[in-house]
Amino acid sequence: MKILSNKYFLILLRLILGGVFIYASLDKLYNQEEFSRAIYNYKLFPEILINIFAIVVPYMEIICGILIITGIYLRGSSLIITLMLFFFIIALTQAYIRGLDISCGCFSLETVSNKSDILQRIIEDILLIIASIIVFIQSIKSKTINNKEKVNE
Amino acid sequence: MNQRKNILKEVLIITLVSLIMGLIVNSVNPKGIPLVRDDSERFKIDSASVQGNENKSVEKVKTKEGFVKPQNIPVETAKKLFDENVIFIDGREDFT
Repeated sequence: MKILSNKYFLILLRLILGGVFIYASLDKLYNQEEFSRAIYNYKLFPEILINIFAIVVPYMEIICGILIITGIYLRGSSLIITLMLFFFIIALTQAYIRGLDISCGCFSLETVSNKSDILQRIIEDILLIIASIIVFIQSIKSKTINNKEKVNE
Repeated sequence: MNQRKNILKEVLIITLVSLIMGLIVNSVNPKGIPLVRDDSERFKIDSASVQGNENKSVEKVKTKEGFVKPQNIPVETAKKLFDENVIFIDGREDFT
C-alpha cells in the first residue's frame, strides 16, 4: 500500500481527477438549459433547486478541477469532488434501478444514455471516487506531517 | 479540530466562489437560465385548440429539422383518438 502515498502516483490521480472534472464542466457551462433538463429528468431534486444546481455545479466542477491539479486548497477541493461523485453515483444508480432512459448529463448533454451507458458511468464514478478519497486522505496526512515538522523546527 | 476547521473553510470558500461566479455569469449571459425552473409552458395544455377538433388539432409548427413540433393534448382527447384507432407511438428508446 506504499504506492498510495507515492508522490508521483498522487500527482497522476490529481491530474486524472482534475482533467475529468474540467472536461465534464465544459459542455454544461455552454448548455445550462440542457443541463437543467438533464437534472430534472433524474426526478430526484425539488424543482426549485434544479436551476441553481445547473448554474453552480459546472463552476464547482471546473474550479475544483483546477484546484486539485494545482494543489491549492487540495483538501477542500478533493472533499467536494468526493461529495459530488457520491451524489452522482446515487443519482445514476436510482436512474438505473428505475429504468429511466435519460441523458446522463455527465460529459455530453445531447445523447440519451441507455442502461449499459449508465452502468458504465456508475463504474467510472466509483473508480473516480476511490481516487478522490485517496487524494483527500493523503492530503490530510501530508498536511499533518508538514505541521508537525513546523512545530519541531 | 483545527484541521477540520480549515477543511470546512476551504469547502465554504470554493462553494461561495462557485455560487457567485455562476450567478454573475448567468445574469450577463444571453443564454442564461432563470434561477427557478418554470415548466408551466412545457406542460400547458391548450384545450381550446383541440376540443372537438381533434384531427386538426396539431398545429403545423415545424422545428428547424422539419418535424411537426410535439403538442400537449388533454388526456380525454388522447383517449378519444385512441378509441378511433389512431396509432400511438412510444417515442422513448428501447429500454430492455
